[in-house]
Amino acid sequence: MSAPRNTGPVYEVFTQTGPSAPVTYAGSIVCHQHQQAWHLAKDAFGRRDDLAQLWVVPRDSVVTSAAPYDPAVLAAKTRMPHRQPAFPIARRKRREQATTAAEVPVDGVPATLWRCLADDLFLHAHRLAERIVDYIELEASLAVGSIAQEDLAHARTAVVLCGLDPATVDGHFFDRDQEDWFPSRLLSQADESWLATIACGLILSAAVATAAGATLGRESTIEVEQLVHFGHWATMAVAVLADEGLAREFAGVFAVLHAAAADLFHAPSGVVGAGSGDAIPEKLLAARFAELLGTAVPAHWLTDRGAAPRGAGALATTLDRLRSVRSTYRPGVFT
Amino acid sequence: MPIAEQPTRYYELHDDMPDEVRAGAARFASVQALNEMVGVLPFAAWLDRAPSYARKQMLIAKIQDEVGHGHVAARVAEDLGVSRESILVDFVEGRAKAHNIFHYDFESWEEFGPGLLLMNSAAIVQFNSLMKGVYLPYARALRKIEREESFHYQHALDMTHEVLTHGDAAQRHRAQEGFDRWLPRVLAYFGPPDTETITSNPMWRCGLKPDGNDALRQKWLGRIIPVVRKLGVRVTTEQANEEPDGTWSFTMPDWVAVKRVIHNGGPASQRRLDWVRGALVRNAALRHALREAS
Repeated sequence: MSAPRNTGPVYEVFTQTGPSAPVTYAGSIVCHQHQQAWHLAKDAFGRRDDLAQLWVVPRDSVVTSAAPYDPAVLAAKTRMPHRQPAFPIARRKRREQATTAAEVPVDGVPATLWRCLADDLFLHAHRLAERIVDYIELEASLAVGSIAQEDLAHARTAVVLCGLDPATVDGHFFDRDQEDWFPSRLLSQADESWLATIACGLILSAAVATAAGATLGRESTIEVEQLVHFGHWATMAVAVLADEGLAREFAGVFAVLHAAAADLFHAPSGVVGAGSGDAIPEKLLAARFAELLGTAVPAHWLTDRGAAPRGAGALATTLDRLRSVRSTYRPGVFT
Repeated sequence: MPIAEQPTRYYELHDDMPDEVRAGAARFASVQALNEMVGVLPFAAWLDRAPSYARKQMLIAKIQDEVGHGHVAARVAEDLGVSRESILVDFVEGRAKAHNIFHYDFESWEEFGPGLLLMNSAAIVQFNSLMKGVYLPYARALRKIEREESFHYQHALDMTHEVLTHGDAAQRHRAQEGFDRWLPRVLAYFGPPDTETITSNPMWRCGLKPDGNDALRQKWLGRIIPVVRKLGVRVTTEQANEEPDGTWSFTMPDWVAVKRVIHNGGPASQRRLDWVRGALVRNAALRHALREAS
């Protein structure tokens, strides 16, 4: 594709034709004098119409959805069907058409790395959602809400990739015995502070993005979105590290969580891929993970923790609470 | 019933506008922002107990939406000179009040659906009215907010239907009790009767409040009572009844009690204040660091 051949600075022009009409994109002009751009835009796009508003913005000042942004991230309706008003209606119709309550089989998905990362993603989303209303800035709350929903979506994708029937995902996360969960110790730490949230978010998103990049093919949705999450947490980490007091505290919090995350790339079944039998050395994943994490925190923080095995999760309190409403209804009501 | 005349002038941020429009718009936007940020808290309390993957996703989406509504309204208020931090500080220091309905928690999952259905449908009726107001940035913000409220409405319908269809007798009873408990609270949400006084309300006179409280309450009853009856909720004639002339009679809220609740005398008032105060204090250093870095 040939490059634009503009002869001067470009300004994007937006017009509004009436007080209740939306402001819409009208086109662009080239103008060498900044203070004349608005008048030129009026001559170009407002000659024949009454306009309520005319906005002129230097093209360089506009952040667009072009590369490097993945167009898929703008497909909110497709990616997140649960956000649509019709979603609960469709669910209700499906349930009404079912003649018997669905019996949810106990799934026998082996504890591959991705099944374990699905546990991590689900638990991370579960904890992170509560931070939405732990107000720092409203923009941070909005970002955290998106990260939590995307982590939940990735958890679902991960177990489906491992061979789980999509119709049984609900039961997989809500009805499994504690002994069948293999979350990283990263997700069982008690610290619910924002510094711990930032550190946990950095570590988990780096790990999942690394695993996705190595095992799911080039630029999978999981990798792309987890890298966006990583970028968000890294931005917060930069702000924290610029504050002397917070940086000291963050260093201590990060060290604890980084040590706990030594089991992140361990798969109890010994299978590191998405259940397909492909094997990728844990050490290779750990090295790539450290390289990514090192772009956000000081290199000397990333001490070699060695690898540790995952164990069955100490999730009694979390799972009891998670099921406290569900368990009072007969099986199949909520699936 | 008095209806505001169609305004002859609408205002954007940089227009010359009467002081009462500017001040009134700032007040409406900041009150909206506060009530979104505080009003989300009774729902957020159920995040860790949402009983299915889909319900969890929908609830997280709703929580995010409400905070997003606060964000949109706070932006309108900021452009009019109200700092977003002052919105929450004024709340914890008693200068700003949350709507009566946000001073209560849900006592059970079964109460959640009917309570949300009543609150959400009332908000939609109110926002549809305020969208006709003369300050256009606030009107546009409400259009975005109202669009997302339709999702919450469907969610609430679905939750209520689920309990009333699949719950056992005790669960269905709790849903009915939830409706009985929340109906008077939401009737009070629209504000005291004002048919006789609306024309002297400065917000009505300057075009920011197109409809009076009584008119909105009637519109809401006309919409929501048939919906809840169709779901299987029992509504007594004492609670709400459509009269032969098409108006709705209802048990008038105790406005003295409502005022007491609004002034932080509700069962969850202290929890709201403690949570917001805690977030302001607990997160002050991080908030400062993020602002310094931006």
